[in-house]
Amino acid sequence: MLEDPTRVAQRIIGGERLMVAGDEHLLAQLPEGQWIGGTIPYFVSDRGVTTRDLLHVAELPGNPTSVSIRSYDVSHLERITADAPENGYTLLIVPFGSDAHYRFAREAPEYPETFLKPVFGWISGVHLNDLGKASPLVVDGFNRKLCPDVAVAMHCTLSAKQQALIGIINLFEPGTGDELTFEEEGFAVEYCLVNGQRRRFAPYLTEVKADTSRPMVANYFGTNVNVSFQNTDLDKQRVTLYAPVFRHVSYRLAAPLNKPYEAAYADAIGEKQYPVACSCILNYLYGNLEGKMVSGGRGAVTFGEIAHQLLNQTTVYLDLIELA
Amino acid sequence: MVPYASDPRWKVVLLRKSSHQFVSATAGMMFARLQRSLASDPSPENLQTCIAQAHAFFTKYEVVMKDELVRLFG
Repeated sequence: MLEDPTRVAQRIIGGERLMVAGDEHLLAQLPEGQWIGGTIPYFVSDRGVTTRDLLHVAELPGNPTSVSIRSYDVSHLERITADAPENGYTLLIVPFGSDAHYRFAREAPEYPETFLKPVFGWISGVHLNDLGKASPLVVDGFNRKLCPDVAVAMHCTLSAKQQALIGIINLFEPGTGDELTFEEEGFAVEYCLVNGQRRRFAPYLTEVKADTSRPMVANYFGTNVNVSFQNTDLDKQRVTLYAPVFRHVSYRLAAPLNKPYEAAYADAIGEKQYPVACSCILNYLYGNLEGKMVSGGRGAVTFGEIAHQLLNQTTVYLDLIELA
Repeated sequence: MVPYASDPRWKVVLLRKSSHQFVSATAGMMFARLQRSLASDPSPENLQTCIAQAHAFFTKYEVVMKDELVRLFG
């Protein structure tokens, strides 16, 4: 929920363990304690909200039996899952555009025990008016240093009676068009294989009149995973993306939505609230959610989502299962 | 019940080019990563590693994934 910074500070001093999202100057004022945070001014409360005056606070689901907070530089990101508890979950925030962001995006699927240990989180950002002027930041509540180049994690151990699971809400499905595969992995693409034929990707997208407000989608055995478009540069013959493409994955341009973006988003999100959730800034923008009533999936609106690995244009949530 | 790691059905489900659809996002993403690994390295050693990872996953989440296991193995 969105709270006044003074109230958040009191909660931290009172010993609460929190994940906090908000403007840099507000995060910098919070006291030392058991919290992690990241910069972002966009939120879904009962409606889409942009604010630099309030903080979004997420309590730790399941009342963990123990919590540890760690920061990881780009050379040690693979330690995230190694350090994660055997039964529990990890909350992770990574600054957009940092080396940590790009390395995590490319390598997280291969970390030890990825998928075995739930890692939920988001990519911190800035107000879109501040792009290029301000840096996305994360903060470890113990040292209170705002950092542009590390990932910050809160590892939370659960009792044996509980398990954490990560869920994904995705508006998009693969379309019925060409199969797209990539021989080179990464965020910037020059060539792709279109139904097995090598083509330059930027002209191809122009040729098929691709609507790049919709992502490419891969079906991961029932889970649709998006790769969203950042920029198509015909001069440089390069397409930049908000997530990397991987080899041996079959992508298709997303099918058109069967209703306006805003309505499709509302239908997909529904009314259910989750202990912790985050949603993509692209859905916020394309769905014109600013000021609009939103029922479910409340949380920060972020520059990327983390559900074991980096995702785009989704809502991601952490849920708890009580074992009998 | 999760089949033993030595059960030959693990090899079948990991190597078949099926369109099996998990309900669990994590299960789907994990399987996709294992199949990417096998596409890059189809060696028997890597297959055993992937089987071990799949087995560990479904063992840990056996309670919440019981319906997934029935649909996967029949």
